Amino acid sequence: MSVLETLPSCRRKSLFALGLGLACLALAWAGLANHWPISDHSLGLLAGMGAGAVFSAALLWFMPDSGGSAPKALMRRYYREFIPAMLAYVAVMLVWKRLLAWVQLPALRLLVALLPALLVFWVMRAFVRFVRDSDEMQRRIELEAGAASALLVSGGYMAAGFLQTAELIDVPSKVAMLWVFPALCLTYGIAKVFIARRYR
Amino acid sequence: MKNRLRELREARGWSQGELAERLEVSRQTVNALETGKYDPSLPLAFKLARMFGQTIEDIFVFEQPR
Repeated sequence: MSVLETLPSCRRKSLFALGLGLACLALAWAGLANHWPISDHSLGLLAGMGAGAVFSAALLWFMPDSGGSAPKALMRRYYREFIPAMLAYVAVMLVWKRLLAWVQLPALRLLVALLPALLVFWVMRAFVRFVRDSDEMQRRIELEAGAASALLVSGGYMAAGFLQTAELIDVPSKVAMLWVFPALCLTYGIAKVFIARRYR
Repeated sequence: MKNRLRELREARGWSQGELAERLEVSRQTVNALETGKYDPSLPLAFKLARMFGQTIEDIFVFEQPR
């Protein structure tokens, strides 16, 4: 029996996420140091994925029950629906800018521009189905985490808006708009860890 | 809210997992109910009461907030 097989499943998942995260960060670092040709867009994507995976690994390792109380079958269905949608999103994002530069026809350009958003809706669908079929306590945890993340992100954006108006910061609007959803996901994940612990 | 869920469950020799299965909730939810960290919805409270053949007031003890 290998050492990995003796670990609880959450810790094995944590190590997998850590490996994936470190691989992404290493590739991003190699790109940053000009060891291989990579666009700024792909570099940002790799760095973001790497940081996200390392963060997930830390959560899984130190707080194995942080996801709340969802039954295993429901979690399995969630991952079965979430992972392909997320992989499709990442795959599209890797070629999205090149595709956008290549397509000139306005109608087709609109379709290509909205393709990542459509894939994000696919990811959201998996999450909505997960919440809808959870038990009442899990739904409460998700609802509280959603409310906390909405408050934190909208508060943060409003504060940043005032700072930008006062010309103390200068964040390009497209960056600010694109980061709303990832910021919501990140704060949601952190909030859920703390809220789920209250019910343990 | 205080309750007699653990006592009633143990009297029937059920594990938290078994009760969770009967109630169609997770084991963690049963644990949170028993420790008073989570108050059930009215439908779940009725389901519990019927399962144990008691009234809701027999299982859950309402405490006036100070």
